Amino acid sequence: MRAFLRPSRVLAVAHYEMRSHMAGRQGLRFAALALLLLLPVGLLRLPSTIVRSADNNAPGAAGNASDSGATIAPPLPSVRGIVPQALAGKLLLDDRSKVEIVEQSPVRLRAGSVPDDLRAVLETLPEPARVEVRRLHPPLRLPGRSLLIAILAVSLLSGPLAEALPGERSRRTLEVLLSAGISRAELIGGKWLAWTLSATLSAWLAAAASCLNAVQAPGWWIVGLPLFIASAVAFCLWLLRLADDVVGGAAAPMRVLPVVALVLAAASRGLEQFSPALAAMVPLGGPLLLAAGIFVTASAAAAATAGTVLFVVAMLALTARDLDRFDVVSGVKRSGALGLGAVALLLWWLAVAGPAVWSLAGNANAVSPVSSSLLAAGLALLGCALIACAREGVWPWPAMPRRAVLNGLLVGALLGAAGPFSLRFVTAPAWAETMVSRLAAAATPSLAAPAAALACLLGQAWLFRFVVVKRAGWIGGALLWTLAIAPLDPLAAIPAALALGLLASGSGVQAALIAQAVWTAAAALGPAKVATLPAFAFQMLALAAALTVMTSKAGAPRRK
Amino acid sequence: MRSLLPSSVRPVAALTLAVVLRLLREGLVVRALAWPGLLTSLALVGTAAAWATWGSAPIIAVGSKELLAPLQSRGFSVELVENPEALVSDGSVIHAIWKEGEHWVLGVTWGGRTTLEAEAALREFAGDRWRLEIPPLEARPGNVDHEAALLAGVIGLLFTLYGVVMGAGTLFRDRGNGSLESELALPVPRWMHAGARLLALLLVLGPALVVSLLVVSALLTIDDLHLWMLTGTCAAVVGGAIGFALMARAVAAHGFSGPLSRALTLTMAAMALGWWQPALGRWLPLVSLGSFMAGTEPSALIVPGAMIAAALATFDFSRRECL
Repeated sequence: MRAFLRPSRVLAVAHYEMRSHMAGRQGLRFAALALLLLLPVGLLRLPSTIVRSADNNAPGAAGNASDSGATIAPPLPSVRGIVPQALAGKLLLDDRSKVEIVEQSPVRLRAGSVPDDLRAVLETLPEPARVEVRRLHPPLRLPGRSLLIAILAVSLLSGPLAEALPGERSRRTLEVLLSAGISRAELIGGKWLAWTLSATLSAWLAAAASCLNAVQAPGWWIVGLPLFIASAVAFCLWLLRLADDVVGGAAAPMRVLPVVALVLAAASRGLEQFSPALAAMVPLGGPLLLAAGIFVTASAAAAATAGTVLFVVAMLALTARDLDRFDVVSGVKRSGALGLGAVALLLWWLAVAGPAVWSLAGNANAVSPVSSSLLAAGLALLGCALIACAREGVWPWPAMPRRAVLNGLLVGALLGAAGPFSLRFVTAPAWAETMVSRLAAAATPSLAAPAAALACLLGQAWLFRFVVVKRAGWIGGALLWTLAIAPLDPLAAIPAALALGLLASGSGVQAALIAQAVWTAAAALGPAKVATLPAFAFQMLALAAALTVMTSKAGAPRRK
Repeated sequence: MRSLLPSSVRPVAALTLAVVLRLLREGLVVRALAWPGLLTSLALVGTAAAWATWGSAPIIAVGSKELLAPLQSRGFSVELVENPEALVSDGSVIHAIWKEGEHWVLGVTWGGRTTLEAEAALREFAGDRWRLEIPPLEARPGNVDHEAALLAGVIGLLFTLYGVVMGAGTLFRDRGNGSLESELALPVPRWMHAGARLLALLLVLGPALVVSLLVVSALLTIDDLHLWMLTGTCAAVVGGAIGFALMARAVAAHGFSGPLSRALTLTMAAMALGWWQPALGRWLPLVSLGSFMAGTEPSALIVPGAMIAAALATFDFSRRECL
């Protein structure tokens, strides 16, 4: 049996990789760029006041102006109202100030936050203090500049990693490499080694500069740098294992790696209070915090090393396993319907129902008006539908026979007789009430904001009654629309959803758009709410009408 | 000369459409377009939901029974304990109140509105020499306009980086798979190939940026939204022009990574310049994104500026073989 991972072959692949991308002037240019970016990060001395001032401002002082210019005498804190005699000369009167003195004795402030400089002045009042606010910051370790070194070193690899696998695929050289006398693991291991080593060398050079220049003390973070780089390179190779295009190959790590690293670093930080060793072992997150100088012990470095070894081996093994696979994940057929439909639905919920979360968080005034949400959500649906159509080359051309118009008007009139969409069979939980009503309002958007209503109706029609219908059938489209409009009470929306879906299937998306537009206009002109039973009956009638339209599509009764 | 415009519009439109369709058929590109808006919105909603779940009834530890009523009336969940100072010191609670001699101590580990509420209640209870009255929350309390602007800036930055990657990548890809050779053999002026690619970038990135900003603004109102849309779109186009121009100037042997790294560095440096010198940055496309993030509104000149940058990249391409 042949050896699985032969060092000589791994080194040969690494050599090939470096020669392919870093030979001659190209390599010199890349190295010069890396040094140009990384060396200043290691060498530059920054004013130490920056970290300290940010720390001091933490509690309730978000509105402070810049703290730079420590040598200049700070301005007096500003207030509105009448300054008490005891504080005369210590405060600056300014009508634009957010702090107002509303009473003189005792001094009473009206403010959403009290800056530290104002507190200091108030403490000079002659009466004895009865209250002290003591800030007990738990020991908080801020990341050092080594974090920036690690991030920059990895970000320089966007291009090389896009060429490492996607570039080989697009040039059709991956097949040649796969047919050579090396194993998949040796191939991937070599590529991983080449870029891990080159980025580590750059990062260590910058780290050495920072240590020699005494801007950061040496520590375990020096070990963290290669661990984070090794994890990031392995993760990016896995991420790009199926990509066959350098454009997508360069964009994917750029958007995914920061989020994954940030989430895992947060998870690692959260785990730290339960088990520091386990926290350091969290892949990507543990090494990142070690490289940032937040984890500072030898045991953390050892745990991070163990975690990184496991993670890198797993990532490289998974990448090697998939090297022969053709990319079916980003293919049009698979993600065209499911992926885009899910993204569209998520964007819709976030834009329409999402703002209501502010009221749950205690600030109902921050909830944006429904019209702005509907405009954003409608355009998001239109964008997703446009992408889906562009990818498959199928478009809803605006050919509209008279029959389709009549069918749309008929179903729309019946839905309009049911009034605005307000059916409720299930009572929503109190916390979800605002969200449910915002989503329901999107079925028949208010005409007070015509642009938002138009975008909303067009987006729904194009996505749910054309794109989804083409891929998942009219029932699929109706169910997805039901989820978009009434996720917690689907029964209430099903008749209208099926009616519009059937109409789109039988007479085209234009007929369904006309029907929903007529429904919206009738809801705007008619009574604010229709009783549940008649409303449901009219929706069922609309469904029956749509069913009739569907069965008599060709102008003749359907034969059994 | 008179027939120049009509005769060039059709091939440019056809080439642009072809590039747009090729970009949109790439799954990774489509995911990249949806990512910034989706991620930012999810983060905002997640933050608000987490606050609604865990932050709306703040816990405060007190060492004295008499404090229960005044704090509970302000919505605090009050815990009567023997040693509140120990609890706040070890991070078990954020707020605690205890008495030291003749005065009360409010110990806090984290600031914010609830800390201010606790302080106001304690000052009132203790009859301190100065008291606090906290106004009700406005629609956009505190300094949230700054955070909203930062979010808009980060979204613009992401789309600008996409512009660089797509500008460089489309040319590299077409050069690598030979389709650029076929395109250059078409009986149309060479500038059209570059112009169509940059126009395609505008058509793909511009609407995606606008929709992303609208979705985020529906969740957290962004001031001067139209200016953010304009600044971000101009920056994305100029970023694309930089990526495209540097890739066009590189010979095929230079590969993808070198020109891309240089383009990304140049783009980030331009935005950093705008951040540090907003008075200068507001006049220039791309640089103005940095200056807008620093609080200086961009000038209307960034639109012709972006067009000039795209025209320069197009002109430079037409003078080169690029194969």
